[in-house]
Amino acid sequence: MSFWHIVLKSLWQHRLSTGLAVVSIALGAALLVSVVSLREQTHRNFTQEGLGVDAVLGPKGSPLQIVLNALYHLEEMPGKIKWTYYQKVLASEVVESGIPFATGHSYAGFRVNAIDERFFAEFEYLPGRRFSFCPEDGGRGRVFEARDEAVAGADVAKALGIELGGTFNPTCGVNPGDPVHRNDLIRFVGILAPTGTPHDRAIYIPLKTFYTLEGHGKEVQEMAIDEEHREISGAYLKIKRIRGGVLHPGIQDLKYNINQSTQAQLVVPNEVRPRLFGIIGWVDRVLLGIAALVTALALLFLFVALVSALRERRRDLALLRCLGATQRTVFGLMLCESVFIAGLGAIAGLALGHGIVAVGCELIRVETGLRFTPFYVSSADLYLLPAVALLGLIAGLVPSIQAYRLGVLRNLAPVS
Amino acid sequence: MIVTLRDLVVEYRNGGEALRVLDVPTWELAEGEQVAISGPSGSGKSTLLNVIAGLLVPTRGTAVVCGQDLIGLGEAERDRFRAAHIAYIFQTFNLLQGYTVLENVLLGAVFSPERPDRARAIALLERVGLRQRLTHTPARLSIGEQQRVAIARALVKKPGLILADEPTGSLDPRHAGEVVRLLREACRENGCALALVSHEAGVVSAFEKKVDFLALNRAVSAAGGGP
Repeated sequence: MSFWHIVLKSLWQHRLSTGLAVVSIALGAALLVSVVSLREQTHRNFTQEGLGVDAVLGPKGSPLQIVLNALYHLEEMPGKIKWTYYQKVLASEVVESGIPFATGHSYAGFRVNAIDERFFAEFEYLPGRRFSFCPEDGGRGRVFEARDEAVAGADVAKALGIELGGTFNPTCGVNPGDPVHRNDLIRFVGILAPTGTPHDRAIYIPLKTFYTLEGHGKEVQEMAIDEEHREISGAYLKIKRIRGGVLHPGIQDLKYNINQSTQAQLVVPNEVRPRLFGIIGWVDRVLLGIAALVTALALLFLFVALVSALRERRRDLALLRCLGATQRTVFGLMLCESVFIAGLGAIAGLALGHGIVAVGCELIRVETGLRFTPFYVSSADLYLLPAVALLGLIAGLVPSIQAYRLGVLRNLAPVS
Repeated sequence: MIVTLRDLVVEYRNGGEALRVLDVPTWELAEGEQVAISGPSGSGKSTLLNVIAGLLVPTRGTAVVCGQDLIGLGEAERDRFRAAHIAYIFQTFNLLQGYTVLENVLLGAVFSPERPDRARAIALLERVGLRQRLTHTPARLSIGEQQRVAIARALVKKPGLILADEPTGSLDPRHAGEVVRLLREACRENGCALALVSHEAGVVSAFEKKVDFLALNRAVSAAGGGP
């Protein structure tokens, strides 16, 4: 029998109100944890070191739309650009290399991007990291070589159960109901090792295959050989570096000149992302606000539960005082109960919050291709437990002071 | 002496007026001694016990209990004094309902300087005939059994003095006699003094030393008796 035994015994005696308080705090904390985790992971996903792209050369239209389509395989490209114009940009002294691509096809909900094969050899999806087909990394097969060959991103392969040698018919468009290229059977010859980027969420076919798919008009078919009239959706550009790895300042002039033209625009992903957060920021803030409100209400509930429990326990506390418990002891008992309930709620909330993220990240991955993990340690994880324990301490302060001031004789009411 | 009271006065403020409820010129209790304090309800017997237990601060006078002068002690010091030296038995037993019989007994020593001794608690429960009821809660005990648990709880921390306020008030005469006999024997075995308050003649008559509180408390005797 000890001080802590009395604390636990009291919590058990009032297990219904204790349980309700723990559950309500856990729900509020779980909301906070999941919202903050998803928020931070969203930021991380959209601020990943350029995803290997310094700039995207794309058609005129919304720069945000271009970034979402080119880097995240979302949305649609607002148009096309001329191959000749791309070549002209490529010749610029500040451009180190370029990888052209053509979007607009899909398969089973995943984008099918026609892309230059150098994408697999030269492209760094993260600094120093290139795509791999090595089985040790989780990849299989090889780069496409023939017109009717394709490479699947790791997530696509996993989601669709794709095996090497498997075939598919690409859909001409990215929306449900779009026509399927029924006579173009493409075979998977490679599956990329997971990269942890949106690149895992696309299927890649040779750039020229895009033009020669049956069903495309003659004009498009000719683009495969006629460079003069060839069009592409865009190109990933790698800009030359100066000292310290800083982008060549000439990119600003290049951007200005391209954007002044009527043919294309140059989009720097790092400049566009803040706009994205401007759009989703208010949703983010509303969710955080709701979570904070739920947590605050839960702590208010804890306060009410403690005050109500104190009413029931006046006689018990008076008896403890009569047995020699000091005012500080009964104060500590009440306060410890409050902190214990809040702490237990916070721990349960952390577990529940990560459970919500686990469910949420799978849904988000299916819907958007963004990769989230339930094991991400967010700032909420670090601060939640001490913050809720502190709030529990504050919620328990008034009932604890009431217990401290409890009149022993009045509440024992001895009969003589 | 384990208790020495001199010119002890307790007054309550009733509006602007002072209402005197206790006025004891002198009273002493020796170590290990047992005394029955009798008197009608409202004669101030419980007030006297509350002063001796350090639960009530007298308005003036001297109260030395277990070698400790209670006058001038702060609340925390009186709590610690009570934890170390005093055990209280109530008419309504005041057992904690969520605790088992054994836990209730151990609670008696939780706040004392000595650590709660489980073996001693079990031995005391055996002494009061409740060895088989260790894990039962008070709700499953009879009234007489509950009072025996209260006796074991009072003795577990080896107090110098047990204060029993109408401990047989809820019992029928047969059980009352048994409980008082048990309490007195247990006090003798453990070497602690006993001050028992009762208005039941049958209980009081069992004691060699008796105090008529109507005569002792000048606040009541001067007003012409009890309420």
